Amino acid sequence: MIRRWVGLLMLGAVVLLLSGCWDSIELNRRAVVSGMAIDIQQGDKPKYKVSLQVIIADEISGKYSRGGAPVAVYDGEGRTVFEAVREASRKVPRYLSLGHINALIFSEELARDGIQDVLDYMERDAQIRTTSQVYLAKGQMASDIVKVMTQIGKIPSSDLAQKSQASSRLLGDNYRVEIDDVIRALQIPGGGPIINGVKVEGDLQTAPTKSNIEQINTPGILQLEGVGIFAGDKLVTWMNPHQSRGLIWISDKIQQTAMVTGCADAKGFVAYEVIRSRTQVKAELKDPEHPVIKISVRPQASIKELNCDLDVRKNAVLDQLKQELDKVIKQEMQSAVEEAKRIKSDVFGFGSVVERANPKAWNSLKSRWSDVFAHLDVEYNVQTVIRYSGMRDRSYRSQNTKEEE
Amino acid sequence: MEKNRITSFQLFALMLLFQMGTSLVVNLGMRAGRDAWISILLGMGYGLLLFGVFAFLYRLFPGMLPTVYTQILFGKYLGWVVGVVFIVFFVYQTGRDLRDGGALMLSTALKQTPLIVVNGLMIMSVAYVIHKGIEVLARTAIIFAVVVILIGSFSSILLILSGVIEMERIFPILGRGIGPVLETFYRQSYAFPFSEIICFSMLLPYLGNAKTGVKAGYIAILVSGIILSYTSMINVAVLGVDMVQRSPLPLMTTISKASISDFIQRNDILIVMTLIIDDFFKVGIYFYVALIGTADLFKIAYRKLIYPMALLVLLISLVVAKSLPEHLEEGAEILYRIDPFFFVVIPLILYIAGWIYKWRTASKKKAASSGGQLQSSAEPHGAEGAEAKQPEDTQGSDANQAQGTQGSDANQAQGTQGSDAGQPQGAQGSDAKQAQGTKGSDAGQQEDTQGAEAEQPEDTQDAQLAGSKRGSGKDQAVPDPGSEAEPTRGKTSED
Amino acid sequence: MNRSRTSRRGGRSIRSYTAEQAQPKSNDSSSEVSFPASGELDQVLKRIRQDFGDSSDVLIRRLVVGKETAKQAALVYMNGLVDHNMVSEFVTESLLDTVDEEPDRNDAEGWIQFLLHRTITSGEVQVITEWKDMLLSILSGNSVIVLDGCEKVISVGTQGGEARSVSEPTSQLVVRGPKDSFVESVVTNVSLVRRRIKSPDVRLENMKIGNFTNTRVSMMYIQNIAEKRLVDEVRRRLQSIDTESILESAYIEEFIQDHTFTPFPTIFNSERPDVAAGNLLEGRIVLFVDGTPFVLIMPAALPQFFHSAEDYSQRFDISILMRFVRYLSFIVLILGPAVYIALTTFHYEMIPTQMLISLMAQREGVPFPAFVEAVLMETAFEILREAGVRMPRAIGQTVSIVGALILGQAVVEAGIITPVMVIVVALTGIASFAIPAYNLSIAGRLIRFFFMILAGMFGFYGITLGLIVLVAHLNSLRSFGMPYLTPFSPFVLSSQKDTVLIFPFWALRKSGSPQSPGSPQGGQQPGQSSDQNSGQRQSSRQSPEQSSVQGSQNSGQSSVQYENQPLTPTEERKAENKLQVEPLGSQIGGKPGRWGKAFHKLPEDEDSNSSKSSEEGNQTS
Repeated sequence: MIRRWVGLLMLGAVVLLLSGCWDSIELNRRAVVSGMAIDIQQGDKPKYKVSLQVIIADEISGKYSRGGAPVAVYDGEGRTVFEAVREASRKVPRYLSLGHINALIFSEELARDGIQDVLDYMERDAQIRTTSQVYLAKGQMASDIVKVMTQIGKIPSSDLAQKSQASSRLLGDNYRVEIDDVIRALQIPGGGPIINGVKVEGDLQTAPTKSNIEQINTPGILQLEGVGIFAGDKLVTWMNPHQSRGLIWISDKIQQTAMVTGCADAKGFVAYEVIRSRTQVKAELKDPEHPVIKISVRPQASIKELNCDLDVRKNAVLDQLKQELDKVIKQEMQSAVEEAKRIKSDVFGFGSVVERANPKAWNSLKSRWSDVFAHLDVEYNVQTVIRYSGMRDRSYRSQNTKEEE
Repeated sequence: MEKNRITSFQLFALMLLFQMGTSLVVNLGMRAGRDAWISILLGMGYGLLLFGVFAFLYRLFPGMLPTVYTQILFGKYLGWVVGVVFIVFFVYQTGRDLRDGGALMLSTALKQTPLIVVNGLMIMSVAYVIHKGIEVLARTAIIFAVVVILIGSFSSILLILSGVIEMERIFPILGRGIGPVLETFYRQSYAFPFSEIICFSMLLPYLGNAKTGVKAGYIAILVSGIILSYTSMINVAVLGVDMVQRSPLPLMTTISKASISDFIQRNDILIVMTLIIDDFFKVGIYFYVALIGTADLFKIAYRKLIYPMALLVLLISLVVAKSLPEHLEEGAEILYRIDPFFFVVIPLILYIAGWIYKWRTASKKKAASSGGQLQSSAEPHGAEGAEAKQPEDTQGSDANQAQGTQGSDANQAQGTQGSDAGQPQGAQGSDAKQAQGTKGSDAGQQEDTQGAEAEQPEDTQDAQLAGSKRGSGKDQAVPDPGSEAEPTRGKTSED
Repeated sequence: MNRSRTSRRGGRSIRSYTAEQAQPKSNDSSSEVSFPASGELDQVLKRIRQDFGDSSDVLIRRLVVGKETAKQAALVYMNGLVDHNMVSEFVTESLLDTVDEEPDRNDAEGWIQFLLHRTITSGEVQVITEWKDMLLSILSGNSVIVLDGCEKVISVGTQGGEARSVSEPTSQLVVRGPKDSFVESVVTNVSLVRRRIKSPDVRLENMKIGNFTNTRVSMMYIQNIAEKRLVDEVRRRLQSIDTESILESAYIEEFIQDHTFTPFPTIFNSERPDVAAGNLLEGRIVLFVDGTPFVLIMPAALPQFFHSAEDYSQRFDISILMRFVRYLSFIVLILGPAVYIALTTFHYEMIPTQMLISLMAQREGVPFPAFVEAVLMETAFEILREAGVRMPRAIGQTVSIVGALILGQAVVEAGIITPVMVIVVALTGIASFAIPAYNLSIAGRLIRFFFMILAGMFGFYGITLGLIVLVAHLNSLRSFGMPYLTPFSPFVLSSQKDTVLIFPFWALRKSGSPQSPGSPQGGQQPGQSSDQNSGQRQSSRQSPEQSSVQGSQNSGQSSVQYENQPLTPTEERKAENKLQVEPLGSQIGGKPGRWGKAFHKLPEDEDSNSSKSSEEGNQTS
């Protein structure tokens, strides 16, 4: 008899578990955020302004689309990012869900001021993916970047993310910088992160409107522009394309890129496509106080355009071309390193290379690394291999000159 | 003790899941920074050592629960007290691990759900499975061990394919010297999670096959050590030392970095599931171990204890700390101050005591056999003895033993502890036979103190029988005359 | 269908009252050694008619036998149950042919002997002395010859009457393989199996179960292959059944199965003779029940429910794929809606962004939360399915089209349910049909609601815990002592050849098959698969010695082998891992009759099983 009561009691206790579900949120109660832009408003009490790009699912694929914009931007202000986000929720009719953020955009002003206060929220929150990409709005407000209507792909942040992915793959000017890359780079002693720059090229006024996409010639386009380098958490300067490519060479992130060199002795240009490349950075510490960094790059290239009259079937000619290419690559790397040295920021991570080579020496160098870095000896060793020349070996020019002769 | 048996493979699976229980979640050995994986390997070494101690004790006293042989080695009262202390420790650990699992869920997926609900759900499931018996738990462990290994391999492959692993982050190895590694070792790694296998000492008596079982145990420790070390290495390789050191749950972040072409993304839920499975088994095993220990020490049927103990554990898990950092800090403190007592001191003492015991009885054995006594009827030294005293026990199990199957502790037809006694209808079949058996053994037992009994080669079946019967007798709620209570190894035939 | 449920459970039903009333009569008549002393034929016949309540079914044909004595006799049989041709040709005619003969002695015994040995030409004859048995015999379709002045009667086997002929099976269809199926008559069914296994080791035991219906139940097994304890246990359980009626094999299944508190079936049933034969060859026991074409096969472990007869008639690599698909479909069945609910309400970040957008767009305007949606649609699907079962064939197709397609479509258009939900429900429904065994798919359908609730409340956490509990529950089930998740759970490596993976036949043979009389020593014929299959067997490969040996159900035999040889460590491990079929009754102190009522299995039975098993296994270590 008592067993029955005990059994009932146990059942009752179990029923307690059924009393509700606390965490389930229906999909149509969520406002899924695809991009976040942070600006700073200076003043005696600096405030962050956060603009959230919220996906409107209906417009993109639903039946009830009213022909409006596929995203909506809501902003909020606060002393910290989290506070600002919560402020924004006053305008959003749904539960802000940051789990799908693709792009995180800081304004240049904010970056120059220092980004370390902003990043903590990003890595601490469980929802935000650490694989979201980070951008700097060059010369513009970050909130402008998230308000651009894009032709291909309805969600602007995806558009941006895909742009950087494509260009890093094809152009080699930048590479995908994710949130945790930035955080890791912040902790390099004497160094800092690099972040891609982005700007709205063209008409800033029409960019947020629908007329932006109603023409063949898009008035306002999001464009990746340069790479910003930091010293510590503050943005110092921008690298131009050559320098940024040099940076990519050094950090071994080149996938494919286009190089143009002169034609050795002749006039004209040769264009190469670098197919793959491998960089190795080593540190040599004969003198523990003055490490020497040795960078060796092994690209493989193929000739894409031959606008001069060279006979590339001959090894000697290829060798000459190779020397040219090596020179150009080395120049790019050098310019990158010079720039970094100028601002005394080890954005390449040479510090950890030194640490790997000689931990003891590193211990003593660590504290003054940025100074040591500024006077670092760097040796370059580029060994290109030109593998292919496409469907033709000599250019049709060679025929012409023959005939002329 | 129950008659249930665990096979070696099941023990392997149980230990594997157990070790990975909460360890994958937390920062293992992060004081050592990059070289955490080394300190984990060192900890694994210690774990092997500790397991060796308990394997030795297990071989010394086959078929006996540690609570039982503690009482043999330390004397009745002190041993009992030590047993109780251990039980309390196990219960506390169960509560803590339950809290770990619940906290994990709360911080990642189920933010709003009250902790009591999350913990309550898990402990109820655990109680249900334990209610079915250890064998069910063991069999389920096999299946889920395979599942976990599969998920782990899949995640590894995913990580490799996403190209987020950069091995340079692990270098330089021992860049800061061996110091941090050793420090982590003695602060944390030796204890967590490897020393927690002392609770498996309570499960060893259930092994079907002693030799392969112990071997399986060693292999399990090895494999889990390697897996944990590998995980730690991967964490550092993907995230970098600094980030790992600052995260309570680095694995989550690591996995969420693995993504392939925008389709497979945010796989941390898979990891969460894996961790829930591991934690379930950890809680389950601790829970079970605490149960049978309590049942053995307090002579209550363990089935009756399941529900109350479950509530107790739930309560502990809620009360033990207010917040996750406090929980972790408390854990670290306990690890440093209290655990050595359990993980080093007691096993050491037990080990020494075991040696003394072995030496002593070995010498007695020599004395007895040199005295030329024949063991035809009354003095069983070997299997025959079992036969001689079998008449009153007509269990099939004993009959098997009488056929001279010695040495393998498989003859733990030490019958039915607890499990049968748990049934109100329980006087049937095996129970009835058990009762007879116990009475038989009881009649035969003497008030014996340590070391005073005559030739008692430690691994005769008598010891097993006696120990087991005594053990089983204790667990019977009803039919036990309660005449025996002394922790003797008295031979039943010594009447 | 009449199921006297309450009487089975000990409650009172009208039936039990009437049964009681019916009892005294027969009891009375059987208490006297049946016949009135004078043996007056008329009185006997009158009494017979009375007992049958003057039923118009009962036909009584009076005859005279013997030339000189002109003994009065009567032939009693039941219209509709007998084959009239047989009755007239073999019985009546042979009786009337005795015009020229005389028995040796002119007393009862003599006449019986005369008729029995010299007159009746039929094959199956039996002498009956009990009144009750005589009635039963008449009811079974035999013709009973009553002699004047005799206290015994002769029952002649003349079963006939209309019965369904052997045709194609309605469930469990295959593309390639035999197409005959069992029918409702036990005799025919047994013959179908006998034809496939021509070995004298095939044993058949009959019994009559059901106090009122006296249903004939036959138990078939192969002598040297099936484990003796299993056979004894099944026999014991059958004999302990105490109920009024048995109308289908499912009744018996419920009585003799191990656990009642689980949706999972522990006894396999089939309509196909090749399946039954295959299982017999693996040491299982087949139960035929009169009145139903579904035979029971026991013991059954979970993987067996995923096997179809087709697996053995196709190439093994295709069959492997099919088996994977079946296991996968079971998982889809239980977890499909649950995972959908968990993903959309708790773990939205796991969904790829594009898909998330389209999901969100679909949810706009839908009034119900995902969980309610799921429950609604699943229930609707269940209703549809139930309806589809009962449809007359003519309009069956139409209704399914109406129901499934149009309903689904309309519901989406009306904006009540999201399209994705319809997809999920449809997939789940189809998955449930992919499982070969119907009783398992029913279990799956039940379980999925349980998972939906868990998912709706706790997301993936709930699903994970639910999975662990489910697996543990499955592990705790036993089918006649055999653990339910064999060979996954006590992991028998050699059985892996036929569970999820299938090896080709030439790889499946076992070494050291047991000897059986009449087979060459150590027969190495193209072997058959190991324990778990329920596949068909081509008739060319029917020899008992090809059954599996390693410990699955043949522990009796294999332990014979093991005992005589020293064990290698692997064997030792196998021995300890091997599955034991543990008869349960003997452990519990043998309470018969317990099995006849609804019961709950005691945990101690489990323990006693494992102990016994491990003892057996370690007997030789």
